Amino acid sequence: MSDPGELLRGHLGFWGAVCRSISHEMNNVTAILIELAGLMQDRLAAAGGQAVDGQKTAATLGRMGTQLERARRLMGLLNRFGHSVDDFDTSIEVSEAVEQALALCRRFADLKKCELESEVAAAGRYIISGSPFVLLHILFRALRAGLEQAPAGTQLLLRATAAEQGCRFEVTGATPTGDEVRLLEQLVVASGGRLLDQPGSFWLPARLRFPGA
Amino acid sequence: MEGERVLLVDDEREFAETLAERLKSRGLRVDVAFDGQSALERASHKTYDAVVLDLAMPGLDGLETLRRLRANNDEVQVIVLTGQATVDKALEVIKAGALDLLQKPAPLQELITKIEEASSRRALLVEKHMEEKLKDIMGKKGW
Repeated sequence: MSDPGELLRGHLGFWGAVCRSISHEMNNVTAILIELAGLMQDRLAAAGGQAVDGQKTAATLGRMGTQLERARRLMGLLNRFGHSVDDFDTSIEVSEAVEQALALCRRFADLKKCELESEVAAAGRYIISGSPFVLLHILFRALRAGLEQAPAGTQLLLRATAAEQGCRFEVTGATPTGDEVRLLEQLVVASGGRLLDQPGSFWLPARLRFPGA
Repeated sequence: MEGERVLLVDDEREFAETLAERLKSRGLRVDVAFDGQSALERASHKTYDAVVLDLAMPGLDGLETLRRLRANNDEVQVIVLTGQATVDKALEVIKAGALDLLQKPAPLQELITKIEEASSRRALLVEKHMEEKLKDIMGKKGW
């Protein structure tokens, strides 16, 4: 990813993957709500003007409420992701970025029947500066690299620790492999960070460079 | 006449169960599977007029499930019901043997019409296979 064209393709690929994933899940929520609304219409039609079963109606409304809450969470996630390009040099709270990266990667983990966990060690409000988008991109790639060959049932842990005027990140639970590793390595180095000896580990400086800038 | 036998495969449980309930209320006989592997197991023990299949599923995905269903039994008629209904995806699933691809959510009547089409197509195939088998037996016996 040292040439600007490849960096741009990497960033756009990340943007597209997140948008596809969230919109796909939103579409599922919409489909469920449509079927639940249809189910209530079916029951009303079957009742032929008589009172419908109150308990069944309450249960169906409860199921609709669950899906609406899911939709609200997804819209919040997409909105926050959209705002990650508002400022290319700002303060980023590491624990929030880690949680956001996990949320963006959750569906990819579900498709592989894997679980994602996070741990931000002794750095509750640890701040680094730079582009939130770039940090999310790096953390997302690190998780995807871990997921690439992870067997079903794997639990991946993304750990962040303050270290050497920067932050050390590591993904444990599966050995990162494949194209995602190559992309991750290039992105880390172009952001001013470096890879560490342990597979899936890297260090980022307290001031992130914007790769390609 | 009994309704069509349908296997509905989708990892979104709420979607699958609600759609199944609506199809059942219209007389169809519906079983539900929440992943590709369970769908293959069900289809190996029971005959369905149509399989309604999602694509993006954990573990065995929809495309691979479709290929295996068709490899095990070419009479199986599969309707892909997916949120990823692009031209490329449609070509890919039809090449793999699907009857058609519908965008999720699909209007219920459109899905039922497609299930009826699948059922008719399957019945024709079964009849054709039976005729071929009969001809083969008659040929062997010299009749």
